[in-house]
Amino acid sequence: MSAGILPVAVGDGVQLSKTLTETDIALFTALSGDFDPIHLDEHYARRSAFGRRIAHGLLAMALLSGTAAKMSAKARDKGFAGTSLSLGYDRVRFVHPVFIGDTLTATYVIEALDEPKWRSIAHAEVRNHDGTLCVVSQHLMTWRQP
Amino acid sequence: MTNAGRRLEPGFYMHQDLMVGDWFQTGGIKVTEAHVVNFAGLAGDFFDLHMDDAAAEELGFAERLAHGLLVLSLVDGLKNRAPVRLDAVASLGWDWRFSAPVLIGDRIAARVCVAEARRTRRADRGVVKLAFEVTNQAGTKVQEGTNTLMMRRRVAG
Repeated sequence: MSAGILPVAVGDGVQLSKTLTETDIALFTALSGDFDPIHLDEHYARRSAFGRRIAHGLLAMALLSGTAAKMSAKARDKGFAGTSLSLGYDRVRFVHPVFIGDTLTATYVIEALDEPKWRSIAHAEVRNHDGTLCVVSQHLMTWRQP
Repeated sequence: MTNAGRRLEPGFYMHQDLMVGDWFQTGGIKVTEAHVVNFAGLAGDFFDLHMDDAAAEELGFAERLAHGLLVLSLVDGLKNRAPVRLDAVASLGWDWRFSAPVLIGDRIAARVCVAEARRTRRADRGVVKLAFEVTNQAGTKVQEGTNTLMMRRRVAG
């Protein structure tokens, strides 16, 4: 456990990787109901500036939810008996398209603490296998004692 | 969020058709267990509060919680399926707060308001910032924030 009252410290980080598949696109479409042809219609997408289908931005971002959970599990492994709750995301930007077959790596690093409010602020980003930044944001989490 | 502006009628809107203050209400959606399990698999987020009844109960929640980003994804869908259709090219980003938990079984809907509108260097593109207020079946605000969209503009000639 860190010296402070929070179970995480500035610089603590976790990562999560996965290859984005066509199944992911289909499942996310079922959730969001976003049937935009740029995600679902290969022939339409070929004529677009991207040249092929792209993933929904929020689908690429979903991995950040996984990293936040992993950070929470890490705190628990270090002895934290309480729980964390996600408060939201600031300055989410979709800066590069994600394509089917891309291997994505989400990285979550604590960059500041607000101890009076029991909050941590993390840099949370998703890059593709070439290292190109695709999604960037700041995540806010609160930590509750049991 | 005020109702000062125009309530938009169902229809198709390009950038110049919108004014700051315009607003519309989306349809609703029930947040189901299928949503939560599928999102957990997509996101790799199997946090106890989403998967384990006992863990949710221990913290005083009657049901498991939906992932915050799942709810945002559902809200994005409500926006895209609303009778007010916006001619968007791309979603540029979000600023978003999870104000209160959303439980499996809750029904959510959103009020969407045009908070900002500006031109770009390209005559056929404009940017809007939409402000969202998401409420549950009890009228409690559960999420809020903004979504910035690149939209098409009608060009004369």
